[in-house]
Amino acid sequence: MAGPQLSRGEFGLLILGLLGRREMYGYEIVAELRSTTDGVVDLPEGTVYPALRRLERDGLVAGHWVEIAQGTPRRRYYALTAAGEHALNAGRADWLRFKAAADSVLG
Amino acid sequence: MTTSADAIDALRAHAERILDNSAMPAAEREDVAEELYGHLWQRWQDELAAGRDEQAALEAAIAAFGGPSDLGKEMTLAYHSRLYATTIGVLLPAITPSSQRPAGYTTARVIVGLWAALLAVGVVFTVPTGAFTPIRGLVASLVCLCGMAMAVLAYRALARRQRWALVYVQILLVALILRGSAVLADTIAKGGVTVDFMALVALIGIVTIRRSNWKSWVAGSRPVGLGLAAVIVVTVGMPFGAPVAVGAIPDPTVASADDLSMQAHVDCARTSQGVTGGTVTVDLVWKRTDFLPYGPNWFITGIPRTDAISLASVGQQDYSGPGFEFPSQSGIAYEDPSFVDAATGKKADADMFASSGNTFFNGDRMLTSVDPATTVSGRTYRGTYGFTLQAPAPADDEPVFRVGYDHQSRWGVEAIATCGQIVTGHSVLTPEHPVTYLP
Repeated sequence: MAGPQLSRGEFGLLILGLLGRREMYGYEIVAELRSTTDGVVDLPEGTVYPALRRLERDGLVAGHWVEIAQGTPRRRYYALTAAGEHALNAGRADWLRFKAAADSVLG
Repeated sequence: MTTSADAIDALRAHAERILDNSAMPAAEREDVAEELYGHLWQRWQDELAAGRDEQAALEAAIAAFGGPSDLGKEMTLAYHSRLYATTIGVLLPAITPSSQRPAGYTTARVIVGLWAALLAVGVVFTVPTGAFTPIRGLVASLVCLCGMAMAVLAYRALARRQRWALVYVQILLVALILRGSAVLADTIAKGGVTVDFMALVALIGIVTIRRSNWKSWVAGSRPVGLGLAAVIVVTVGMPFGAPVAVGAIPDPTVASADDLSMQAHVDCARTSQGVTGGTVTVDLVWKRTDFLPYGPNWFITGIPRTDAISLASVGQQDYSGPGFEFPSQSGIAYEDPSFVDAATGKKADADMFASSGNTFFNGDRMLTSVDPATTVSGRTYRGTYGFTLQAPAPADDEPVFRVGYDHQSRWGVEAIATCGQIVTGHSVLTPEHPVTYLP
């Protein structure tokens, strides 16, 4: 049986959850997601960028470039916007309600 | 052995391939490419730090990141709807910064653009010109629309260095040349010469494109799969085949030749030297008359197109002597035809100018038509054509007449009769001179 599948919406919510803690760039988000979930969420790393673009287009996150060091590619950091915080709170509430419902069925 | 420079190039190339497989705003491409490369680079560094050699680190970084096809599609979905991503997004991935264009580039785009414009004309005018029944016209119009949409996409995809667009152009050029050859052969067989303009353009295109280096131009795009190749062939070929194919579509909304019965009677006057003249009488009875008036062509021209009825002599030796002016044929002079209600004698002619011309029976003369406003189903309408021969026709060369009824170039009824014969007309479904409004 395949492992848990994430929808685009759920993946976006997880990214919002991480960015709710602090600003991050793509590579950092992937690493943080992997370590926080003990490797349960382990998608191809590149998938984070379409998700970030979607969140940015929806106005939920805002990105900005940061220069790092000579000879090192600069990084695009993302932060939650006000709309993103609102979406994160709403999404988290929905998720907890769903989790409680699922727990009551699955034990 | 992989050097750092090689690895960096490979990482950049991987990021570009992902974007080559996506359809995203060109303005954002550079930023996204840099972001993807930055991620790959950092992963590569981490793999090196973990003790892998450069080649292994490179492969690990790329493998962890994901393949160009899946990520490209995901990136497209980030900017567009699923429908767009799975259709147009596949055909129009993002613009790659272009190197030098191949020599035939402009010619190819002009040809595709011209083709799209011709199909647009087909979309707009196929139905209203009344070349087909409404349902068949709609189908033909949709065929043109599909063809036009693909041509427009190909026009844009050529600029985006897409291999499928090059395949599209090649197939289109071959199809245009084949059609032009068929038209040329057909007209030569009929004693004329018609050179198809688009075929000429296509010939120029093929020569130009063959000399150009297109391989490098489309090298970065994905290969053309069987499915896409089939779509290209169908969308290029359909507009060529539509004029014939739509005729086979069952269409209950329109009358057929079975709705009309026609009978032709030739009554000849004779002397001891042979036939000198006589009358051709044509009886028409419509089972229904709702299909008679005008048709949608009326909206365009403002001139009603009634059904054409023609009379021509066939089988007589051509006469080239003096005394007989148009529309006499083969040494036979006709009197003006007239149609009346056979029971009441009331005139039923439509004015001559209202006739659409008899394109179904190519070359027939003495056109007339019945006024749709006066006809009633079930009644007999009789047309009488008087004729006089310039010289008496002996028994072995008596005049033979064809009466041809043309219903809006969709179907015909034909009766061929000679002296003393009463002949019932039969349906003719293939015009002698096909009418084609599609390019």
